[in-house]
Amino acid sequence: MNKLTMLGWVSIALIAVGSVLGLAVLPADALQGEVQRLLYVHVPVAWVMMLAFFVVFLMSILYLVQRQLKWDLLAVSAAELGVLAAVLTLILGTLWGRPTWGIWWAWDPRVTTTALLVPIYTGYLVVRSMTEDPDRRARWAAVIGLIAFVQVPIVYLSVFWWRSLHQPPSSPQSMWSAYGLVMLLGFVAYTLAFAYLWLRRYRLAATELELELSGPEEG
Amino acid sequence: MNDHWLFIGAGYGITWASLCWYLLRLRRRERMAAAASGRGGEGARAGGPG
Repeated sequence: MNKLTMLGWVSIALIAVGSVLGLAVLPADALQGEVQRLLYVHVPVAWVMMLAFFVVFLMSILYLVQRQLKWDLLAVSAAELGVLAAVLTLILGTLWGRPTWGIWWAWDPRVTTTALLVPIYTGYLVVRSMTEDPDRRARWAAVIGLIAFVQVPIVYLSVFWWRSLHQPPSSPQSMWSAYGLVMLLGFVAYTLAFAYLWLRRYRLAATELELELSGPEEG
Repeated sequence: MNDHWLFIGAGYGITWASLCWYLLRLRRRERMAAAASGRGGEGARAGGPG
């Protein structure tokens, strides 16, 4: 079993353990009741979303400095996962919001700024299909990846800057230690799942680029 | 309180289903890329979970 495969299985095992603890072992929250169990997946997935977009930002800088296509491939692989995590964060948030806030959707600063990440990074992915030149594509994407990241700290700080329906960021200090530990386990598990999918997606992107550069086969 | 479990089930279910969908999509693309580069089947073997 190679290291990447092992990483995949470890992340699956940790997600399973965290889910059992969060769904069946820990008691329900005194105020919110059972629905608080969504914390153990909503917060880690939101963390992965921010991590993925930070990776896009970092890889974009590296591309612009070194002009090596591998950084672009690592960036697009993270962007794709970031969009998936952003959509999941919004779905999980709305499923948590309905029983606690009484509404499916609120134009709350945290929710709205998070929702904006989806068209921004989808745009990043769409722009890439507008040119067939790998270097130009990488350059355009890197500039967008750099500018788009401005939105990420706005998402994080939105609950401090504006009067918000959304609670401040959850941390192990803001809750009972057992809840905090299971949430931390979720952070580790979903981060490893991200790393696994990201590296596998990068490997695919490298193969696809190789095919693109070699051109269509003759005959 | 019981309807809370519907929201919890939907949340966890959608998350896991999405991860499985992404993994399967990745695996299909890996197989296509491997076939196109003349290394048919290697992508499938290189897989890992899923």
